[in-house]
Parts: sequence; structure tokens; C-alpha cells
Amino acid sequence: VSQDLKVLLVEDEEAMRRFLRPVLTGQGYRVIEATSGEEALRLAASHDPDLVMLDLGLPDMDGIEVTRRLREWTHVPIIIISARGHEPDKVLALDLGADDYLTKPFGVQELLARVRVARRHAEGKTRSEIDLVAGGGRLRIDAARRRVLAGEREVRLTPIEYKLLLTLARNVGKVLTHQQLLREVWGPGRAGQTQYLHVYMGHLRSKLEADPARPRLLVTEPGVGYRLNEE
Amino acid sequence: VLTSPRSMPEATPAPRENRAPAPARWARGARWAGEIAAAVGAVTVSTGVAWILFGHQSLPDVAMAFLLGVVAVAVRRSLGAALLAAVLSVLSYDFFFIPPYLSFTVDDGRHVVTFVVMFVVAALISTLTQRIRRQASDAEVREQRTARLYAMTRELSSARGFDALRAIAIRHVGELCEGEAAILVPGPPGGADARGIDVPLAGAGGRIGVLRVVPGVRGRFDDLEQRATLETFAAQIAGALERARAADEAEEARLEAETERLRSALLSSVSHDLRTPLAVITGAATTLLTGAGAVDAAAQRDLLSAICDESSRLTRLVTNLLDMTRLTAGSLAVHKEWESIEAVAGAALGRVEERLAGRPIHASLPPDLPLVPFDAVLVEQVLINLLENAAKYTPAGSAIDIRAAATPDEVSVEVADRGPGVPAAERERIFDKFYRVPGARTGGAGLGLAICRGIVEAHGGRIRVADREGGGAVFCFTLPIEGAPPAVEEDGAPT
Repeated sequence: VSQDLKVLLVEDEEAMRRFLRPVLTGQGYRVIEATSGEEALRLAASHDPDLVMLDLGLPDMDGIEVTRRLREWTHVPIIIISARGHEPDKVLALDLGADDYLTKPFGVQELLARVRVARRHAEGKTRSEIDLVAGGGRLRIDAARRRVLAGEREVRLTPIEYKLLLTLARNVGKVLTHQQLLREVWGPGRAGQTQYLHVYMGHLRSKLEADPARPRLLVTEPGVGYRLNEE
Repeated sequence: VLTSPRSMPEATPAPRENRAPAPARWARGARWAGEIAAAVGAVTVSTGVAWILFGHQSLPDVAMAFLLGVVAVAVRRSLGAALLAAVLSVLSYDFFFIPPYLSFTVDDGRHVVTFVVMFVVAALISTLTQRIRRQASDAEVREQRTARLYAMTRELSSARGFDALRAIAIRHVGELCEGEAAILVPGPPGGADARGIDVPLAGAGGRIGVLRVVPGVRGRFDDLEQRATLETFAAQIAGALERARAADEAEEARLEAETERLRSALLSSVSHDLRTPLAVITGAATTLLTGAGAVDAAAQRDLLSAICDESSRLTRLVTNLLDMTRLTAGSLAVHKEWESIEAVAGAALGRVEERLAGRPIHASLPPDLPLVPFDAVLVEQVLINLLENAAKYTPAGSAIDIRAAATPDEVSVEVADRGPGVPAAERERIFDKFYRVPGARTGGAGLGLAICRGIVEAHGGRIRVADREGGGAVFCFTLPIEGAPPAVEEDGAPT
């Protein structure tokens, strides 16, 4: 990571900042710190960060509100930090345009993985061929020829299954909410009908996973959405 | 006790007159025509019978035939029709059977007495017959009301909770008055603009509220007996609501006591289960920081992993305590959606992966398992707790199996292990808060299974533990399937 990348860390807890500061600095980021929503919005405008890490519980303003106000003018990747049991808030922030989330407490590996994925998507590389490795297996999607290979085996998918897989693969590593997937794959007509998603994810798992009951690739985030994992 | 009838609104709908006046008038005319036809018909028949008797029998016997006709009308028809039949009978008797025949003139003045007696007897029979009929129909109405009262009382006694009872009472009183009913209780005002008959709901311990009735038929509950019926209903409702309120209050008190117990148990738990990991973390961290003692690289790693382990133990404990507090406080909101058991089980297995390292895990989830309505976040927690429990209480390396099966009404999910099992005497109690099997080797707050039970029961399901064939324990919980799963259209064939 080049030295001039800036991360805006929005967190009111000193202890959390103390933990995150060296981790992010160690990755080569310059860390700008904000302890309130207003300060975060001000610093985001003046420093134009490359990444925002945003705690949902801020003293002056809801983190969801900060996300909304940031998304009015910037596409900077936003990673939400929140507590367990606040799934509806996470979904709201994600649907408003946040890129991903971390649930406290989280480990450094998880943090860095999320940062990496968010950065990669921000760079906006869309590939016609997707090749990824997860759980000791390999998944290849050739979008030009509409071919899917699990290991060396060619997998035959229905049009919807393929579209669902492709949507997840284009956002590999990133969580997509139920509504985002429904809108992307089925269009606005199926908004709210999560049963479609669960049924088709089940189909995909049974076709792509070595053990569908213990998925390595198509990971469920209960109450939030799905994620295509990559190692 | 009752408010004056002026509280009966002028606007009370009287459907039969207001809604459809023309057909109503027509129906009334038809009814009158029927009554008159019945009277004329009966007298015609009587005249015929009398004609046959005439000449064979004495004149009074002929008069009897007419009385029989009047009785027949009185039994079937209105008092008016019976009286008309009486008048017509006297006229017919005079016309056909009293000389000069075929004339209304009377030669012998004694016959006039016969006419009067005949009319009085006929009128008397009619009136008495009508009274008997009315009493019979009143008895029937009373019987119906008693049946209604009984039905309501029975339903009230089988329901729980103030609001449920209130709804039942409103429904029954609404049926009784063929209109609308409401029960107003002190509190935020609502629907106060509906006017009607107000009956206070007085319980033994004071007034509970007011039963307000807006009958669908004008004049309903105008007479005293009907009002008395309404008051009987009100008394029953008041009694039931008072009992429900007492029960609700008792439940509240129980909850409060429970919360209090939880709080004190929490305090004792804090001293035990929170302090140990904190002591380890503090100790290890200060050792590393000050470099006290000869800490080589291997020892450093040990200390660091001790910090990690104890931190995750603290995390689990705090998570459980928070979950338990939410469950006990009743603030747990269950967001049911049609979810996939397979997906949630997969997520739970992923979440406890490290704790299950080195164990064979067999998950057998039938591919045709239907979607089930549940809260994915909460049910994932149930599975995590059951898996962690299995990891904690069974030998390292022993297998853990997850199975699921569905019937049309429910889905059952099992987490089975090859550990020592749960003694029969403990199988109920292990789901209690803060309960730990005596002599259990690993420490824990005794909350994990209590949380499982709380979540499963909040879904309307059951959880239990049983012996596993071939050794071990099986924890099994069910989730009800209410209603048909939403349809999912299949798309085209795979290409």
C-alpha cells in the first residue's frame, strides 16, 4: 500500500482508536481521527480520505446519518463498525451505500481483509474472468463465455443462479444485503421477497460447495445478507 | 345503574326502516294480507264444518266448530287475525245458521246473548293462546341469552391476558346486541365519539371500565329484562377482566422478582466468571509490558494466546449476559422471516469453527428442507450456543452431528454429541438460568442453554435433551411452521 493513502477513523472510544491506530499505520495508511459525526463530515471534506472506518454509535450523530451525508457527495469506501445484535442498523447503513461492516469484537485479520476488499472495489476493476480460491476449492467464472468451473468441473446454472453468482463474484469478499441482491438479480419486482434469495442460494450452494452444510464460498450473514468469500 | 335512554343516539341505525323503505312497506302489507287471508280461510272452513254438522247436531255444537276455527288462527297467527276470525265467526254463525237464514237479522233476542258469549269466549281463547306463545318465545330468547352468556363465560375462562379477554367480551356483546360494543378503560382516550348505552364494569375491587353498546336494532335493551341481561354480561366481563388484571400484575411482579434474582446472580457471577479472565489478561499483559521474569519467545506466545483466549471467553460471557438480560426483560424482538435452516446452520458452524477444530462434524440437512419462519440472528445464536456447549462438555476430537427434519407443522433441529450425556435428573434443569450440572468441570455462567430455551420458546418452539443411541446427548429444538411458505417460481433450465 502506498504511503499517501489516508483513512478516516471515526470512533469516539479512545481505547478502540488506540487499538486501530497502530494496525492501520502498520498497513501504511495515514490515520486521520474523528470523534464525532460533525468532525467526521468536516474532515472527510477537507482531507478527501481513501477509506472511512465508521463506528455506528457516535455521541452527536447516528453513524447511519453520517453514511447518508457522506454518500451525498463521495464514493469513498465506508466500513461500518458496530456491536452484535444491531443487524437492522447494519443493513440500513449498507443499503445507504456503506461497503461492509465489522462486528465488535473483531480480529486484525478480519479487519484487514475488509479493508483490502473495500479498497479493491473502490479501484473499480471489473474483470471479465473471475478466478478465486476458497476453502481449498477453486471457482472460475468466464463472464464472456458464461462458463462456471468449480475446480475442474463445469457447473450448469440456471439464468437466475448464474446472475446471482455473478453479482456476488463481482463484489467478491464484500457483503451484499438481501435487498441489494434482490434488486440486482430479480429487479424491483421482487423487493422484500427474501425467500427467493434463500432458495436460490441453496441451489448455488448445492452446486458449488463441496459440503453445502458447511459453505466456504457462499457465506450467510444472518439477518444481513450474503457474501462470496475468498481466501 | 343505567344511563338514561337519552344516551341512545337519534342516529342509531334502524336498518329495516332506513335502508330499504319500499321493500319494508311491501313486506308489511303482505304480512297483513296473510293474516286476513288466514282469518277468512279459517272461518270459511269452520262454516263448512258447521254446515255438515247442522241438522245432525244441536245449535251449540255448531257454534263449537267456529270456536275451534278461532283457536286454530290464534295458535298460528297474530292476535288481530284471531279477533278478526272471532268477529267473522259470529257473523257467519248469524248469517247461515240463525233464522231467518242468509240474513244478519235476528228474530229471537236470546241468540244475541249467544253471539256475545261466543265472541267473548273466542276473544279470551285468542288472548290466552297469544300469551302462551309469547311466553314460549320469551323463554326461547332467554335460553339463547343464557347460552350466549355461557359461551362467553367459557371462552373468557380459557383465555389469558387482559387484552385477549377484552376482545372476547367485545365480540360476544356485539353478537348479543347485533351491533357494536366497546370496553372503555381508564387510560389514553380512544373511540370516545361512539355513543351508546353505557354499563359500568364494576369488579369486587373497584370500577374497571365501561361497557359501551351500540345496538344494531333500534329499541334493543329498552325493556328492563333486556337491560338486566346486559348487566349480567357486564358482571361476568368485569369479573373476568378483574381476574386477568390481577394475573397480569402477578406476572409483572414475578418478572420483577426474576429480574432482581438475575441481577443478584449477575453480581455473584461477575465475581467468579468475569474476574478470572480479567486476572489472566492483566497478569499476562503486565508481564509482557514490564518484562518481569525471564520471558523467552515461547513464553511470550503463551502469554499472548492466554490473553486472546481469555478475551474471547469474556466476549462469550458478556454476549450471553446481554442476551439473557434482553430475554428476561421481555425486550427481545423476534423478527420472523422465511429463512433457510441450512444457511443459518452453515453460518453458525463457520462462527464456531475454531472452537470445533479437530472434531469430525457431520451435518445432514435434507436438500428439500422447506423455508421456515424464524429470526435468523437469534436461531444462529441457538445453534452457536448448542455447538459451543457440545465443544465444552465432550472430549476433544469427538464427533458432533447436526441434523434437521421437517413435518408439515414444524422443523426440528438436532445437535448430537458423543460426550458423557446428561443425567435424567438434570434434563429439565440444565435449561434454567445459572444452573450448572453439579461437578461439571468447565466453568461457565450457566446461561447458554437458558438463552437457547428463551429464544426457541419466543418462536413458539420447544427444546429438550435426550440420550443418544450409542452414547452421548442429543439437543433437539423445534420451530413451528405457521402458514404456507411463500411461493418461489423456478427459472429456466440450466445452460
